[in-house]
Amino acid sequence: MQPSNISDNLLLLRLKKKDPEAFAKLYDLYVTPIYRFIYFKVSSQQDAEDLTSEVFMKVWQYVTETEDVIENFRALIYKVARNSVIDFYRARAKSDMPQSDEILSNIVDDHQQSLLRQIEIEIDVNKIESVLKKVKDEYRDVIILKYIDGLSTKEIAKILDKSNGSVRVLLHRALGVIREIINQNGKQ
Amino acid sequence: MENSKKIIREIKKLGSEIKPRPDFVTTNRDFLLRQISSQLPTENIKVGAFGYLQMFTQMFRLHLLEPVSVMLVIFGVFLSSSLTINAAFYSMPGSPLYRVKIALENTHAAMTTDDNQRVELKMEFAQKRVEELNKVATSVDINEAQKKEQIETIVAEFKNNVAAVKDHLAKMNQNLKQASSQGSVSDKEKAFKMAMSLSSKAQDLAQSFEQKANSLTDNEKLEVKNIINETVESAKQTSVSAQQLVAGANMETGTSTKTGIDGFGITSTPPIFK
Repeated sequence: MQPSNISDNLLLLRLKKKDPEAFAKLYDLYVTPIYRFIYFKVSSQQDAEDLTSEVFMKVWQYVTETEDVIENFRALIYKVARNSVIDFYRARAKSDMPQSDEILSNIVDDHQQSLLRQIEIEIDVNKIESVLKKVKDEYRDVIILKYIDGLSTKEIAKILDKSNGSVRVLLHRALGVIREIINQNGKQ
Repeated sequence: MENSKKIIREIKKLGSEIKPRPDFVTTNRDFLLRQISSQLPTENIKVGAFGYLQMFTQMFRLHLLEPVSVMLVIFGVFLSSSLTINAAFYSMPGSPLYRVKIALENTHAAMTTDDNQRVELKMEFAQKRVEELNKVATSVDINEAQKKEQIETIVAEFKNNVAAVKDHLAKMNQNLKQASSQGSVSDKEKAFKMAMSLSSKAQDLAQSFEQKANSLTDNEKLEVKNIINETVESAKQTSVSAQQLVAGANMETGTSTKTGIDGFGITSTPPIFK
């Protein structure tokens, strides 16, 4: 899915005038990538679905109410998705659901560690999903946005509130970490 | 590096495999649309309709109106030009389009490369002046001053046409002399035929012009008498010039020319010289 900025902007203009049809079209364009982006971060289909629905509702509210000029709708919706996931984890900060990037460090139980390692042994490149869930949030974000959703570095920088250079560095590091995890899994 | 590429490939592959449930996509879509519909005030829907109107107007302007407008402008220019020319064709002295008519006639003549055809055209135009004179002479909706002015205009144009014919006759005479010295029978025959034709036509023009002028009332005749006589005389002179050219050709060519003339079936003298 690689929606054009022109069609996005045309739909955005209509959306600002509270056009339900434009909203439906934007939903059809973005529901899959936004769901996927959230799914990688929450590890639960149900949570991913709830958050996806919430994201679209927030986007509707924001676009129809704001006076600000929205330059890039795609960057906006990913940013809303990212913030929704952050809010989701904040709400559950004290619960028993640790953030995905803290899974390894938080698992203290020896038995659990052993089990996890057993799983990791089975990880190969075809099970990259599991690896992705173990890397830091920002590494996973740049990887998903860049290689799965096909966003430009500029768009990713806008979503993550970082510079283009920082995004390039993050991408490089993220790939290094994933490679390292896979190599380690292969050795064990 | 190879490993990184493999990882990226697998990540991309993973992206295509993870999708929301189709059931969720549909039900969530309906749910969201219901939610936002309940927030829509009536006036905003109107704004949406206006937006559509603007969009369609823009599309209509860009894709339909502008090309059609251009075509209409082109068609309009073409049509108005045709109508102007048509209107000019039937215009009479006193009308602003009469000048256009004369200009078009001159352009037509100028664009004709053949000298004989050009002089034929001049005769044709002179004939039109005679017809115009007839119309003006019989016209009752203009006063004497206007009639006089219009007759003067017609006469001036008639004289120009006749003068062009006269010039052509002089040129023909010159060419005929050259043809005699070079012994070109074909050129002489052509010149002879042309001179015969012009003589006849010029005579007819003179008679017609005189006849049409007779339609004028006595008072009107007094006003334009001199210029009418002058014009008729000019046409007659042209006819005489043509006849002289014919006679000269006969004298110079003798038997051979007669044979040629007979070959064209032109053996009679123009009526005026009978």
